[in-house]
Amino acid sequence: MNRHANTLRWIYGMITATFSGLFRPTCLVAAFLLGSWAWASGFLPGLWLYQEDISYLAVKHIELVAWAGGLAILVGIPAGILLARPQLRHVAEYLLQIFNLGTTIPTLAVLALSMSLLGIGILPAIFGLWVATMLPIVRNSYTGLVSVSGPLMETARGMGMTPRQIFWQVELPNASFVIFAGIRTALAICVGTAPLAFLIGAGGLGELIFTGIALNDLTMMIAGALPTAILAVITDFVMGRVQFFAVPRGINPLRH
Amino acid sequence: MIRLEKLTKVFDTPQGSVTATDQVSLEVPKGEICVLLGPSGCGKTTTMKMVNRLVQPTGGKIFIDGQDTSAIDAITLRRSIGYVIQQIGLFPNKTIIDNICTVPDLLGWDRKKSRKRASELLDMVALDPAVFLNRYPRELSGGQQQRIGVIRALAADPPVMLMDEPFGAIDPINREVIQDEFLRLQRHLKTTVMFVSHDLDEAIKMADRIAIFRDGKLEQFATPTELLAQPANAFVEEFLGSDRALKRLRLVRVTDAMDNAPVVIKRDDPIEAARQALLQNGHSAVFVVGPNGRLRGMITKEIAEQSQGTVSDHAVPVPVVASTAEDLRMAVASMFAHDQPTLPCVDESGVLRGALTYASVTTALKKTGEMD
Repeated sequence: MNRHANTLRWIYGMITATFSGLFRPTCLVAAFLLGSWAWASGFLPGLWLYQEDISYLAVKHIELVAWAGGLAILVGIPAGILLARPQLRHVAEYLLQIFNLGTTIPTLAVLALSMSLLGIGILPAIFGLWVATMLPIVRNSYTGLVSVSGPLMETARGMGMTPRQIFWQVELPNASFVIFAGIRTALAICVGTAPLAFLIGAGGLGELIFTGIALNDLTMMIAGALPTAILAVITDFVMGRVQFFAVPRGINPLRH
Repeated sequence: MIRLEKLTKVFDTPQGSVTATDQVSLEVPKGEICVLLGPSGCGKTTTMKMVNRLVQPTGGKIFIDGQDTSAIDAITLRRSIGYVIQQIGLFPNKTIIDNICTVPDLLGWDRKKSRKRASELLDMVALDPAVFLNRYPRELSGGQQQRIGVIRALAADPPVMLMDEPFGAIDPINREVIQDEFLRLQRHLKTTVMFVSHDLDEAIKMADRIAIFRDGKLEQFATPTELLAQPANAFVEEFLGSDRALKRLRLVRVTDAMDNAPVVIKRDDPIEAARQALLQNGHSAVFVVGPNGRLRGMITKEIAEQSQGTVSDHAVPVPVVASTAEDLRMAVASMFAHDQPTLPCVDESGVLRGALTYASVTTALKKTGEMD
């Protein structure tokens, strides 16, 4: 009981600290102390040794993500749009159930399967990542489009919009927030699972992580994990910004 | 003008075919409001949606301003017909001005011209263009949104407008205001309106003509007065309710029901004159007027019987008056609320024009019933 009260008090303290002027300097001091310790213990200089590896592998990693993610967006959105067409809606739910089954298969297994199909190297890795990344995009594009309200569609039709105009002016803009949310999730998954691509010979930051694990070399592992994490955060931030500006203000909950 | 000729719609359902609209023929003259009224599932909405071909008719014809609409392409047809629904359906991704200009933009009108028109329309429904033009629908209240919905339908000056229970989701107080605003706008623009409703009071208020539907069939098509005075059959009578005589009150204006020559007295007349006047006409009060005929007060029966002297010594203020322009429903409500069996009727400058009594109300209702 008392411990709970203490925890609550601590959380409350953290919150008030966030809003008090002391929070920023405290953070800076903490970061400085952590940095000094990391340097003094030889961890940071160790990490520095991997600088060249990191920058080379990060580029590879980004390439993998860009290809897989880009293709997933290029295919996933049109697929979602197609499934949301009235002519296909009755079969769409069944198809998406099959797709959903796909998401339950672990990405590692997907990569293994794609390796057995396409051999090793970049191509099977991109293919595997593409499959895993595309599902949330298809799902969200479909959901976003079908959840555009009936009365909205009726007025659009009643005012004399052509099906094409309804699609571009009503359906797509009103589904855009959900579609972007799908892309954001998908890319975060993509960056996060891309290290696995190393296992089928596609390189990327996974090389440092898995080798680090194999050699029980903490520094090497962190040299791969930390940039991966940073990359995921940056991707999500950039996509968040894109979503913020690309979704029309009237339906953008971020801009209320 | 909208003319329906033997309009029929049969839906094929797994349970067999259902006739939603059955051989309906009616004509809405230009500039009038026709309310399609009936219980739910009676085919009124289907009938309306066939006009802009959101529902494809199975049989029959629709003419707008004499032209057979089946010869016009559906998209072109819809752009020439205003459309408002209960759920409003403003585009949440567009600003208010872009919403209003939807149809002008589809028609490729000059942007400057349509934007200017949008501002005018906003003014007409008492929304400040400077405040509202660049807002988004979600920033508006329900009542404001429906005002936008209505002027969006009017933005391209369509000769015909369809409304599907447009004020159904608005709270009663706002609804009255918006109805009045719409009536003013419609009289001004002379748009021909087909309006679906299930609310009899709304229909009586808005309609020039009411079409009553049951099971897809047109039961009666008449002016509100005629409908209330002479229901065509038992169904219509039941639908209108046993208090339909009361509903007719709102269709008669005070000026048409009042006794045009009320006995008046001046301030320096003796009370005796008031007593004589009351004996003569049997009213509950006589009214005191000033030199220009303005209402100054009244002498009730009790005062006249118990007092002596001149009128000015005993006149009491009139608790409530009726305006000659208002409808009988308000006036009769005042008569009951203030226990005023003889209600003075004044025009906008306060001049006494007549008096309303229970007898004159009854006579007026009888008269309008026979007239149609």
